[in-house]
Amino acid sequence: MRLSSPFALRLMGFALLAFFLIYWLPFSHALPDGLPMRFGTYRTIQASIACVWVMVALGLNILTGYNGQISLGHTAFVATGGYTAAILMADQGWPFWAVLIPAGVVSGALGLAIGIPALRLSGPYLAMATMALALAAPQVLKKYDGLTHGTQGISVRGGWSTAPGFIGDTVTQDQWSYFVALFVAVVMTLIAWNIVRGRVGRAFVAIRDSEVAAAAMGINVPRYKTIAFAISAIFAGIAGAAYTQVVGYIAPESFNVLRSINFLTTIVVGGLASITGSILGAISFKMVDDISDFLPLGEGPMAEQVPWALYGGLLIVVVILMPYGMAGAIRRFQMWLAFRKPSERRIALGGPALGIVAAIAVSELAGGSLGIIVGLAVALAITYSLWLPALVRGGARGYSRWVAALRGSRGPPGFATPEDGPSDDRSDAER
Amino acid sequence: MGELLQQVAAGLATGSIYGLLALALVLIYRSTTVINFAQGEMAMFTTFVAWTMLHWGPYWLVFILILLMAGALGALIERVVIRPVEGAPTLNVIIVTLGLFAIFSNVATIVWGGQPQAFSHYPINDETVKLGAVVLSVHDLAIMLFAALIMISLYAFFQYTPLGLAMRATAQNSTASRLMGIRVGRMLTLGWALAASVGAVAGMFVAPIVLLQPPMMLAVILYAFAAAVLGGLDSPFGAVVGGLIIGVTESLVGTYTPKEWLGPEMALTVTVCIIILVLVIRPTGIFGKRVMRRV
Repeated sequence: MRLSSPFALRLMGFALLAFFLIYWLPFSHALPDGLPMRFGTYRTIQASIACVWVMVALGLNILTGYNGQISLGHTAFVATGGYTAAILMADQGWPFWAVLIPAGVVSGALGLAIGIPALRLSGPYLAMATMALALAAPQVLKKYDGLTHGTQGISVRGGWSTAPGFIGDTVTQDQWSYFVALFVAVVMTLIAWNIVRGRVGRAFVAIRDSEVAAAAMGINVPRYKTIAFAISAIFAGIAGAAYTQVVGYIAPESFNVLRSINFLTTIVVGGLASITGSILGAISFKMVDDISDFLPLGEGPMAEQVPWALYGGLLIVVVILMPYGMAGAIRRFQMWLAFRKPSERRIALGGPALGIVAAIAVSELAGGSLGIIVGLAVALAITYSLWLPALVRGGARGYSRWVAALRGSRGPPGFATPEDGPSDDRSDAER
Repeated sequence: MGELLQQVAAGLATGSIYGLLALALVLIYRSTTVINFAQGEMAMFTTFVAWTMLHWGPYWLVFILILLMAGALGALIERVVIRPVEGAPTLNVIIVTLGLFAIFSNVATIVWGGQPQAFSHYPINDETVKLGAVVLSVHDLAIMLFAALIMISLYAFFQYTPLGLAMRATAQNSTASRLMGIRVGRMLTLGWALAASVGAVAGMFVAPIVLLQPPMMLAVILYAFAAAVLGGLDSPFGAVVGGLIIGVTESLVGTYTPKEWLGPEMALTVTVCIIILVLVIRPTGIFGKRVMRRV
């Protein structure tokens, strides 16, 4: 078997990913002696929360990306699942693994209940109706405090999942929680994958592209639209349960409406109607928190505000340049690569390869997010050096020409114009 | 009875603010089918600029200058960041407005700090006026007056001027308008400029009530969105009515429902439940046009 055969490459990719997720991420702070490692426990917790957001993004993407129904209310589903889990774990003494299913079921039932009135609404009207749910959730949780413990929230630190026996001697609680979250996230990813590739997923896409045509093909449109809501809510509910385990604490203010809006941002930046996109979007969103760790901003309001201001700018640039999100950019890059000269292909692929090396090296020395950012910069700089002349030429001809050059067919790969996105990616979420 | 009227009047005053911002949302939605989530933060930003300028000039001069500056800001935003995503899926444009939201709210905190500031140079004082059984502050009256004034002048602008006609045409059918010689791009820019100015007025009136601070428009923009949706997103009249309905409902629910299991803390929840109910009955809002779809 040749080392460069697609199968071998894929195998190596999976091996690298597994190494990264199972060993390097939770343990690597122990590797080089004497280096200032400020990213041990903190990085593990960040990664665990990223796993939780991946699950929410998957669920939301099934609803919005694949089925075309917009939701600004997903924090309510996460809160429902999280509270179900927390009440069962803290007040009833259930073990973590047993609460996953009730969390999904309760949240899914709420999703079903919302999905039925949502049948009549679309676009901004549906967005408003679901946002109402997210607005109401914290107030309801605070007001009816007999069950939810009100504003003080619920701590599950006594009843959360701990590592069994011999494993408990080698991993800390945070590392164990990370593995739990990772395991649940991987299982949910596989489930999502199967849903969107199967009969149900195709029905979702058909409804998104044209409800009338879907009905003509014999798809029960109301039933599948409601099912999409329920499935999406189940994902969010299970994510909520995992959140409770990872953070060990849950409170009404963990789930405000802004976070709901962020979920939507996540899947658009990652790529609508794409499993890879959901994962990439959720991870990149989590990294924004870390920007403040390596910018020389000091303490106080500057350290909090500057990363988010940058995030806003980045959001605009990404959406302008990659209408189909990161997943669309990757797909476009692959397409572009298939038609290149070997020399150009080497440079284009060498960028990401060197980027990964730089990312690992820098994050070992200075910290996780700085490494990822430097890696990304290296990769982009090398890969995009191929298009620098075209970009400069475009820039000399004015702003709109420059944007067009960036997005157009002669521009860098990954920057698709809306017209040439694959049909599977076209979203009717807003119509 | 007096109590009821008083609550209704208070609701109408806050409702006018929601209505003004909702009006700004509708102005943009009509021409580009985009909800501008940054509307409130843009208004907050211009209000902060106004606060800085008030150290140098009289209120009404600053007020007019701010309207112009807000218009310029709106036009600039449309040209620089909205124009490039014109052909993209609507969701992408919404994400761009969310990016603007993050930029404005955080830049405002960086520049002016997170502490609440009193909007102290405000010329309208706290005196109250007695209208029959209802006691209203001059400020509340001014808000309602301005909301009405803006509504009427916008109505006149859209109905009786050639430019307004061109803007309405663009909103209705941009391809046909372009064929008729209307500069569609300019109309869109103008729409954003108008919306930003209307939003700036709302900001100038919110600031004296809630103290000037970066998150001050957060709740207002959500209510305004609710108001615009409730009224029907393509109807400017509906936006204002929606705002008034929400303001009054909230005020009444807070006062007249049993404190044990509802009361003021749940006013928002009850209000949004009512909105959902209205939407289920009328899926395109109270005054929204029903969309017929050709297959």
